[in-house]
Amino acid sequence: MEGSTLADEGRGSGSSPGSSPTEDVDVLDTPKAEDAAFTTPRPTPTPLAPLPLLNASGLYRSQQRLQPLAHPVTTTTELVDDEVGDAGTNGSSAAVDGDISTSLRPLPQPFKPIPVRRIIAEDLRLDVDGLYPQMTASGGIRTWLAGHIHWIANLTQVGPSTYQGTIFYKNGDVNLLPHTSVRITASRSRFPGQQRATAIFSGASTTMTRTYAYVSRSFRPFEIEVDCVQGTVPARNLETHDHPNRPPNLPNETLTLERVFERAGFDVSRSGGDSIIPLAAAGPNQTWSNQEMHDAMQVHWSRFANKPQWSLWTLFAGLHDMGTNLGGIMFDSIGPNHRQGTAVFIDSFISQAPAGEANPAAWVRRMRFWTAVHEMGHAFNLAHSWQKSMGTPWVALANEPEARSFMNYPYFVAGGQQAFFADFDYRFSDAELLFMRHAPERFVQMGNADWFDNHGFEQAARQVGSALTLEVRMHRDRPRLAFLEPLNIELKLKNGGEAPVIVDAARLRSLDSVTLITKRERDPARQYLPFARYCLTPQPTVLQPGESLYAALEPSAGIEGWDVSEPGRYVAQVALHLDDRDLVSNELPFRVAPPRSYDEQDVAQEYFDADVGRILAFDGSRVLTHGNDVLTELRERCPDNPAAFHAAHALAAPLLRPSKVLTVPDGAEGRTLGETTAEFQQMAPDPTAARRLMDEALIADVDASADAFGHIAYKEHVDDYARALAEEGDTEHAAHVQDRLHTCLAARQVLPRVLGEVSAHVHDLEQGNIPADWRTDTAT
Amino acid sequence: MSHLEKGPHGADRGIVGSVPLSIALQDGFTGEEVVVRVDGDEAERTEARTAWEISFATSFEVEVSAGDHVIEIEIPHRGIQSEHRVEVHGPLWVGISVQDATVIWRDSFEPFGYL
Repeated sequence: MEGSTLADEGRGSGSSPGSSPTEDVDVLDTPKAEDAAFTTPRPTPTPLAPLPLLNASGLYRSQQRLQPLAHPVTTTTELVDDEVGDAGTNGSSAAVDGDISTSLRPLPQPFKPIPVRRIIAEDLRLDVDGLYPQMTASGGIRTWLAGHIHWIANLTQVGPSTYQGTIFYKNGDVNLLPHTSVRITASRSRFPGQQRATAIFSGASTTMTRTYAYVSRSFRPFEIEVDCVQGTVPARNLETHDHPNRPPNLPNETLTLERVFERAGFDVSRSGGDSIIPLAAAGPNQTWSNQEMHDAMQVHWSRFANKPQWSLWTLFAGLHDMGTNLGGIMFDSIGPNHRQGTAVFIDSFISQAPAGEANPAAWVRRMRFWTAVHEMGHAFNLAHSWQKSMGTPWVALANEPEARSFMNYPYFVAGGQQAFFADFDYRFSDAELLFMRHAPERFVQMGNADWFDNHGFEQAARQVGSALTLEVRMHRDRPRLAFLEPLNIELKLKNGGEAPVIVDAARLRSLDSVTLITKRERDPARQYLPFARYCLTPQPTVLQPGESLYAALEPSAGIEGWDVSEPGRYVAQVALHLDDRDLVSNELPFRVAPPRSYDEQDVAQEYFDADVGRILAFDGSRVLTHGNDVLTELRERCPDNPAAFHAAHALAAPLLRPSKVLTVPDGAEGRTLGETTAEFQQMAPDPTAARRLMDEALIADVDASADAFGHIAYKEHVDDYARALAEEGDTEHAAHVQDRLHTCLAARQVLPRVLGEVSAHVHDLEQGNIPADWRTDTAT
Repeated sequence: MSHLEKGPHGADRGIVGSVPLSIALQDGFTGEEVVVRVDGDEAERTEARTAWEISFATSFEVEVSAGDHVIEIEIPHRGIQSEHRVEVHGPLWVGISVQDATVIWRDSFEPFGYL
């Protein structure tokens, strides 16, 4: 920075379309100031010196703290009786044996994707005054984990500090901003902390008002590092009157690379520079290939990182392998992150003044500086002026073959470079400024991929520097689900620090504290909303360094339907809400295979249904008979599908023990339970059927079952089954079941602590005893 | 579409008897097979792809006698065909670009400079 502001430039000030000098001097456009102006008599005999213009343009931001998502209210419900199984919910061991729940069940209805609505940050770039105003506003809405939108509006000034216009561009989840118009009022202030902008979005069913706080006069950051090869001198600045061929009104100044991009709207800084790159890095031929420059960039650029960042490396070198015909290049199209490095070749044609040039030295200095900016422009993803319509422009663009822009070739315009520089203001064109200032960040930012998949996790607010890490994983060789197979994932909360950490272990099992997002490729992200939530007693637990806590989730279906059903590529990600932070997990990619048979396709017609989802989530039901019929059919017609394990288990679990069902007489709708003759009915267990189905689900092929359920849920299911057997008095079969569990888990090298626990169970059962930890319900 | 164009420096070159004709494939090539013929003879057959950041795909040179010559470009996959007449009395650089289905010819007495 060189101490001046856009307002100081003296150009562009007050040039906003529709503005007037009088209006622009209205610098304190707050309601309070306006009121005072109309109510207080002013003795103003003395002429006041004109106040310097205060710009409204700049970056504004609105930040919102994360709020837990309220449990959605279903608008269409019916009173039903659900008897749930006793093996816990969603893999968490939170349910109590014989527990009965009565719930409001949503009526069957088409499942719809639900955009996640947690807004974490909004920004606004107001571009109405200062240098080269584009009369444009743009902004972004970033929701936590699941989506964002970028919008751009054309503006017209309708008041001293009020602008309005149409939102002409949206990129991202348009559901986040269905509005079509915006009206923005800026309150200018000499004190940046007091400057605000209020935007009213309209054109949808409801209006939305946002107030933003001023952040900076620049729209975006930009960091430059300039290095040069030994024997070369970088062109970092230019005396604008050095060459006599120039616009007559061109200010006489020392123009720097930084100043050019400040005027384009960036907050420019330097990340280092002045490093001398040995010529040996160019190889024996002493000219540079793109690969050699990329290698040098990795070694010498202090900011090198293969990731998107507003940072650029520029190298001044002698010659490219192409020879003197290449004056400069944005060379970085290697690897996954492009546009991070540019080069200027000072021994190329840009240092060979034309024959007859009266000021050859000044011509060369100008051309070197111009080329440096030109190549840096490419790093912002700017095309040549005559290429604007080629490829896939971000919006429909017209070519600008005559543009007096850094991105044109001076010798391509009519009249050649003499004509070009006679009318060149050392700036980018308006279309280019619009792109640099307002296009979605990923299109412009260096290192950002051209075709980045617009998935819902890119803006996740990750916890940096925390000792705790959250991992989401599946226990199988390949993260692939069979068609119809429910998703089972495990959470691992690990203390990766060097000191013990106290965590509430109950949070891992409380679905109020866990947010899980799944996203199918090309579909919107969906937040898993479970059928039930549990209020658990806090369990403060000391997690020693290296220790972990584990939990399982089965999030295929919830109250908004099946989040994981159709074949395709998915990604899952989990956030755990702790008291003072949110831990965001890795992304777990997985795939759902297409149907393998007609039977699978046929069963699917009924399978992806709310009742089936509830039965699987609650480990069985005595009342959802249609869902039970579907699962029975699945077992019979698709026995080789891993979903058959889940079906068998869900059918068996309610039969293990006595249970109760609340029966409600016909015509009870709209009445309270007390007003009806509703009553609980005792349901007898069916040990024979339960054993047959449980053995099928859990014991017949322990490896396949462990794959299907995941280690945590599988152990919980087997424990529950063995415990029921022991309670019936069949400790012999219970011991066998536990022994099979031990064999399976030992082969999978689970933690010794877990194996020891299972061994102890086997020992107790072989002695005819019920293990001590099964004698009382320890669930909290 | 054709126009005679100076190179980056706009300087003229001397005239010789047998002269090099340099042909550059510049903008708008996306990897399809491109055939370039000079006076009906195939001079180049290549799969050209433009490096958009320098507006250059590839170039090659042929020797021609002084006088008039016809350069023809064909991109079979895109159904594009165009020809261009040049008068060669000294070294000449011809740039070929494709924009949509239009071929743009640029003639220069100097090597093209790329940036």
